[in-house]
Amino acid sequence: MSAKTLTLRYVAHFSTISGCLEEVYTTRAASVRQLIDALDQRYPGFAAALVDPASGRLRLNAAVYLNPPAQPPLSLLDLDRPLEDGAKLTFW
Amino acid sequence: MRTRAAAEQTILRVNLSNGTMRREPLPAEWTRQYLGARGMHSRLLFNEIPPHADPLGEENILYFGAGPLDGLPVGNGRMSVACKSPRGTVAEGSFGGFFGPEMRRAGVDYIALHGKADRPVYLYICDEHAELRDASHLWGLTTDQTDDALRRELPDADVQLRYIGPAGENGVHASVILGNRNNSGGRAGCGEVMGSKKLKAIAVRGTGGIGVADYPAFVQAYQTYRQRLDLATSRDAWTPVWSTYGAPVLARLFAEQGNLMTRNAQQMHWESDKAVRISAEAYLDRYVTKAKACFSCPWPACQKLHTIPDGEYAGWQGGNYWAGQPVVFGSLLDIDDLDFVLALSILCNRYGLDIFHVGFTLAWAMECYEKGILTRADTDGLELTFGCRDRQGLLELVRKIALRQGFGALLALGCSRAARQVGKGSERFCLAVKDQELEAIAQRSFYMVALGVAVSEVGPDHTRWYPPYPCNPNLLPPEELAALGIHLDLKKAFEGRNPEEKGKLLRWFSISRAVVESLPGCVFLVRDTLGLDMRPWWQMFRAATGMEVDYFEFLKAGERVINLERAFNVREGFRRADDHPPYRMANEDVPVFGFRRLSPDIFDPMLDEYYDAMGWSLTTSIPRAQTLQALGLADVAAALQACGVEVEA
Ligand code: SF4
Repeated sequence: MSAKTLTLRYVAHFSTISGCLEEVYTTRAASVRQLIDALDQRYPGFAAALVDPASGRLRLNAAVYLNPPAQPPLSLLDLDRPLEDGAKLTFW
Repeated sequence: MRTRAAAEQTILRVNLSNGTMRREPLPAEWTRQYLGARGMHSRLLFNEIPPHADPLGEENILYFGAGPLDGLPVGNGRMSVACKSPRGTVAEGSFGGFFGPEMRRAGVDYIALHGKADRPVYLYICDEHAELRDASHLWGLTTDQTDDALRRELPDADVQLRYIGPAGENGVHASVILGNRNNSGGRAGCGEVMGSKKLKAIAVRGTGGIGVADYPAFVQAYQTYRQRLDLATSRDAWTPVWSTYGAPVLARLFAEQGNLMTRNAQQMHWESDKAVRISAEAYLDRYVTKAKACFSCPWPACQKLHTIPDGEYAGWQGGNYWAGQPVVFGSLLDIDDLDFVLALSILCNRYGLDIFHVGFTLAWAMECYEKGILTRADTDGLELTFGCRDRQGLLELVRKIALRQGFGALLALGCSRAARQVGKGSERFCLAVKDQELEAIAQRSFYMVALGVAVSEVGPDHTRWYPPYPCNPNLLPPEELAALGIHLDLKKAFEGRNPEEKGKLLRWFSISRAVVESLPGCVFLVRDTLGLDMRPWWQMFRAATGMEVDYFEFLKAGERVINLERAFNVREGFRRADDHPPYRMANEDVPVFGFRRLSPDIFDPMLDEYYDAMGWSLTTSIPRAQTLQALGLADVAAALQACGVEVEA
């Protein structure tokens, strides 16, 4: 699986969990879910703030915005969406 | 002072021309028909301000109003201020803070200020006692100086104040009324009208209480409301963010989404590092001294007090860094220095200036300057480019706007009138509707916002339809939505750049928010399902007032409010042609992501759909006779006809 370079933006309490506002991050994660799992290794508590453990879906009080390269942003509902190289994600 | 029933609604009428005052109850059925606050004001404005009255003359009336839920935990201290705007439309705005509950505790739910004083005065109310006092010593003072002076004069710490600054005294466009130093309201012209009446301030102190009719039912409904808003239970992505960091988080999100008005909205994309420098997170790190929410608000960190800790503006104090300032003093002017953004905002509050007027008018002037329409000879020598390097010069210009001096006198007119005066095509850079400047939310990527801004009876005002995007449209199944009277394809309705369903969606948002603002409650707390399922609001109203009102009858109050506000404007001559986006939004594509201009093929069908959904004429925007009749407003149709307005059947 090829590595992807992403821009990650952490808003409000996610910046407290990650300790930064933005970062460029290289990953081999195939999907947003895998990315969240990888980030949880770096920033414990990250996945719990985003994912409902019972359903495995995005929590109703959290949001992830995705800017695919050169495309308009969208509010992500499907965590299994594949990641593209160059994407920007905002954790809200 | 006794405990009053929540349903009681009393108006204090003050004649500033001759100093007389009287209290009178408002008709009990009006509470059922218009609820209170904004709703009650819509009826009072239509009934009491004569058609074509001079907005700055004796006939205009300035109203301050609370409502049946004010003073109770759900009212959040919200209140309404209203009059006829100097621009001819309805002027109505919502305030936060503590003033509304204090009015109610003093036995006054509304204050109507008639006539004009011949010298500066302030109104002092303490329970049953009310008097006009000389304010010559306050005239000319900034708002913080006025607050200090009145607090020395009225040493009761619980007295609540509303006042204008030099901008209102000098009749500056869109000047606002302030209280608690940082809570402003009435940008549609209420500050100018208050200044024209030579009324510097109102001070109120009450010692009574507000009783609810059915306490257990109120508590039960209130618990449902709180569940929708509490961190642990709210099903809304905004709750954790707004209730801890506040609204300025938006700038960083929008910067790279094509949603942030940059350099007078010539661009809609701002560099991320700039957005980071003026972000909510940067604000919280460096400036915030205290969270200070409105009365009984469940989101303690929505509003905050701040101090600039060091540097050029060391020690400057202010409050409330909202979603607006990062746009109007940040991206719109291309300024990424948060010290300076806050300094501009603090200065506006001190002088009683509206931040949107100042931000958009400065942005218009900067674009004119960069395009050679204005030169140093016009700007009193100021190099007025985007990102303005002459910080001191820009602050001085803001002062000059408030004092109507030099180049500031032109900008004090607001960008529409200034553009008309300057000409040379500068009207194309003016971002205003009905001569009032826009606010912070992008239009070419949120079509419902564009429509809401264009049709708003008071000019651009996000509280008329806020929040404009879905909390989560899937929280309520279609059958339940239909049972609640919402017959919309929500998926389409919430697609930002699909014109379909936007008219119907805006109708729902406008009506439901008019209900919230009339109770009153805070539209920023319309989260989770509280903007679709209005039953918790309805149940709290019924329990508080003891009024048996059917759910759909309750919602009709919101519809009446919008029809009355529209009828007021129609009587003053406003028509469909006045409900349109600014030139730039209608004629220029967004230079990112292929977001299109709001050309007639996009905008007109949305407008038609909205008018049709509202029961208004598609050609004129005038409410149809049958629409008014169905709302119990046949007298309004008759009054319009008596003024020569053609009302379609
Ligand atoms: S959400 Fe903000 S504006 Fe609304 S009542 Fe609370 S503190 Fe006031």
